[in-house]
Amino acid sequence: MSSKRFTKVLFLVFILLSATAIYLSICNNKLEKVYHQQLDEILKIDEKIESTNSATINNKKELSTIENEKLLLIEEYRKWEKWNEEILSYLE
Amino acid sequence: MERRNSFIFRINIIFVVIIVILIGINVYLKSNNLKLKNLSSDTFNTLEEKNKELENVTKNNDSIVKEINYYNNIDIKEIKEEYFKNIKLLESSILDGTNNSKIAYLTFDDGPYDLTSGVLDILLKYDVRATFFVLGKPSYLDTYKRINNEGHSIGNHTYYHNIFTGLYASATSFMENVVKLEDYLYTNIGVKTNILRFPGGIRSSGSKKEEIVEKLRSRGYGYVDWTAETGDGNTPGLTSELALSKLKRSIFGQKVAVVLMHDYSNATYSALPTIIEDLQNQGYILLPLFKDSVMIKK
Repeated sequence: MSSKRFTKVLFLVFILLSATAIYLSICNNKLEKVYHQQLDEILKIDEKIESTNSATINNKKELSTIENEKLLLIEEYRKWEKWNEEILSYLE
Repeated sequence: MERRNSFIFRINIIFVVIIVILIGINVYLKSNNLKLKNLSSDTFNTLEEKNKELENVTKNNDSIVKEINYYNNIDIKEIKEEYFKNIKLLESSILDGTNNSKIAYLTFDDGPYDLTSGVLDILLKYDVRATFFVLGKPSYLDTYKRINNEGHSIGNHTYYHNIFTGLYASATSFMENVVKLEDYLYTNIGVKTNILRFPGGIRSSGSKKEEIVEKLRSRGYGYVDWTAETGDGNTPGLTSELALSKLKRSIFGQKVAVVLMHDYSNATYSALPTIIEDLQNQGYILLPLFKDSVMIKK
């Protein structure tokens, strides 16, 4: 191979490798963006889980207070609910 | 020529160096790319897990919130209204022949007495609700409360039941008696009565009937007599067997019946379990009375 042709080959390889490098860096940028988005999303979900968990704890407390306060009322309501269902069963 | 070849040679050397550098850069970029892909795939899995976790905790919280709302929206008045509305529908379907069931409204007059607790125990055991047409007896406050708490209807039977000492002397004296009991029950157990049974039945009101009924109506009352009985109010020496047979005879053929009994009667008390079983075997549903019932006159 003449050195001129060899230069051409080297040039082509140079172009190809440069293009590959550009392509790979674009891909990496995109992947990095996606990765950071995912991390952000995980953080947001973690925050949501944490706030939901604390809401659940508060709601459980509220529920138990309500249950204690309205125990008799709840029992009475359930009785009437049961009796009402009995009547409904006769109506079916 | 030689100078030109030397120049090309140098260019080639530079290219080779650049290419080597580019290869290095590409290898580095590719390895970075693979790392990022792996990381991304890991975070994707974590994200999915977190989403599932969030879904679970949200579901859990939602179910608690739902329960809180259920308790906060508890309205006894509303469920009672619905219950009696459905009994009304049941009555209508029985009377128009589209439903083969039968209804018996067990009623107990003149109480409370000491025996009332026993009657309540039996009704509780059989999970049956009845109606108590009560008088004014402050010493039985707990019994009134129990009647109410166990889902029975409470009807007004006047405070004193003084049939022979002026109850029916005038519509005014009758209504004073009614209002006195109404106030007593409302103040002490929070029940506002709106159904009434005339002591001795409507016939006892004699010539005052229309006037009294008009006054009752304007006060929001409906009234009811009875269509079947055990005879415990007017049969000396009544036994439980006789009470049952009298009831069986008097209720025969009725699709919707109002059964008169008294919670002072030992015979009725002893017969009550058998009465309940017998009526249920005959297909009767035993229910408490309410103002909109077809049996209540308005």
